[in-house]
Amino acid sequence: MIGLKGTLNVIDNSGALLVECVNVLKQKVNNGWGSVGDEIVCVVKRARPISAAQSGSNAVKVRRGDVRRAVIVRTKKTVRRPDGRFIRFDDNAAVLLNNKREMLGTRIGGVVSADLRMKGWGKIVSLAPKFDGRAFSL
Amino acid sequence: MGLADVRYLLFDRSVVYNLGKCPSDTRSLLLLMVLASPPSHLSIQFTRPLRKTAPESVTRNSSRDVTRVTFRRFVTSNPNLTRALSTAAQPYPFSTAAKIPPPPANPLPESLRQGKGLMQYLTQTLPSPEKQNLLSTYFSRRHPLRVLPGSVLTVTLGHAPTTFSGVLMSVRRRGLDTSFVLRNVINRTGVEMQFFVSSPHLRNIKVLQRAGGGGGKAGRRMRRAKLFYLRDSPEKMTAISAGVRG
Repeated sequence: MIGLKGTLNVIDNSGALLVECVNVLKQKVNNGWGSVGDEIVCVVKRARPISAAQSGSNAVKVRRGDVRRAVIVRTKKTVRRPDGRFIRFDDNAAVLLNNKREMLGTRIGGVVSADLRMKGWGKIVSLAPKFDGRAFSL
Repeated sequence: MGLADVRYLLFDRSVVYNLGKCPSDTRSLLLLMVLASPPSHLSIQFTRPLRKTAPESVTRNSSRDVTRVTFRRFVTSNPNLTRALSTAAQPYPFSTAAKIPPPPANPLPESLRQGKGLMQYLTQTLPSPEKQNLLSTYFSRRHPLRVLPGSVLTVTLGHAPTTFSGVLMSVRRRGLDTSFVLRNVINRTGVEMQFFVSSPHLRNIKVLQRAGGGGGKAGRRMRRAKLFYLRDSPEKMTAISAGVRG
């Protein structure tokens, strides 16, 4: 349940560490709250310092104060699966996107929820760290 | 050719019957009889002749037009297969995937049709025997084998992710809706998953480490029924999980 002022950890290598949600896109149901797989507009609250030597990397580096889009990948609120299971993580996490729903970073460092695949973010699920040869998503 | 009337009797003699020469629909019926029969020699008597070309091992009764076929059971006796034919699931002729549950053994009492005692009846009949066993042993209130909070369980599911292990944090006992929450730490992130015991997706529950036993810090009895304090203390989680690897 991410809404205005909700903070999320960023788990890709785009340089941001903490983002704050400003708006949840396309959410007419759920009273405007965002859950796993929803796109949000967010403000970067904390970012990794960008050194000039890292300009060769492919990932776009973001700065503090940038307004970007992101997709929620983990929530502290339980999410119900179609088979009746509930899953809950210990933190809220997101992955930064550009306006065309493409990832800004190139790698993901952390487990993601498998509900992303059901909402159409299979690309992000495939980048999640591998476990026994398959992407680790719960 | 329609299936003939079949009556099955028990005999001591046994003759190995070559099913390869039997017509295919009769063969499937014979296989059904064999698997459903008690583990003794089975004989089938057809009241109408099957075909003009009879197999060699079939003897013809000259007095009436009856073909007697006796054969020895060629599958090992399996207690799961030895049921009377009336309680086996009837095959559905139009689909192999559809399963028709057997009709209830006793006729439904009239009070049940009015709704009296409906939930108790559903709790006893809806889950499969394995699930009922789970409910009555692992997740009961007083059974000696019940899992206590603080145990480490591994749950096998029918779909991805295939297995999930974790510390049992809470058991919510509501009869058929009984559920439990497992907590695990994966990639430095805590993950909790709630599973429902009667769900058909839940294939198997394995207890890796029981709580409440004597000896060692990991096996100590937890003094709470719901271990939500584990969310704030990772050191206690590592203390519980340290005993599992060792």
